[in-house]
Amino acid sequence: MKFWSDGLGKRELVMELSESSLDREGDAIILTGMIHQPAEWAYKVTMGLGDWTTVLKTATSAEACTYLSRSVSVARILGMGFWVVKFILLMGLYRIGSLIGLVNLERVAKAPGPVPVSSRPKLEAVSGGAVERRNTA
Amino acid sequence: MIVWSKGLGKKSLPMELEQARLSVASDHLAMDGNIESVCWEYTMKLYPDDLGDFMKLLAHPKTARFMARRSGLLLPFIVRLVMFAPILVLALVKARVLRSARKVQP
Repeated sequence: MKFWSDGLGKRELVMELSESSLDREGDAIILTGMIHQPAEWAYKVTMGLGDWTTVLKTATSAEACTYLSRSVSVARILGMGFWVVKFILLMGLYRIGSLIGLVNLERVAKAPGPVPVSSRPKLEAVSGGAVERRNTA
Repeated sequence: MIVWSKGLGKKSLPMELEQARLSVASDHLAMDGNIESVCWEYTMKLYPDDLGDFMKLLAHPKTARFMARRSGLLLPFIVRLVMFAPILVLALVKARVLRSARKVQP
């Protein structure tokens, strides 16, 4: 993918999406990787639900149809079709799993773990201080 | 979508992909728009490999799981796809026929 913006002047950032790594961070999917041109730069693309919805709409748009039929080989289109079918199956499974309560679609926050006893007096000291101040007032 | 790169320094570019204009060039699909926060024009050029890679990223379990949170997304997409597939097949046939007809012409 080539990305250009006014702020980049005449330069275009060339991103290899195939080399990017994907992770979920809160309400977005984060793509990270390296730009090879014009320089070896790290990049980070944050994509929310609205952006992925746009990707779905773009994939089934009239422009995509024109481009695919004119410039993309049938083998490549079939390859894309494979990923689309995989996406539909996965998303369907997650939706069904969520509906019957097998899958929690919200990211499960890491459990904070047991609070060490030694850290508790700190909180008590604060509340104790407040009480003390109230008493002195 | 927010794009950040080392070349942009501390600046990150928030883009409203939904408002981007789609256009077809001979070798790529372009998405053009405006980054409102800095009033910069932007262009994203998607080549055949990129479209495949985007679909691959879409089919990643983390993305599918992330998107499954929103209801009313999958069924409309399937409906659009069912309508899109025969049109694409027809367009492919038409493009191939036209191409072979041009080759036949002296």
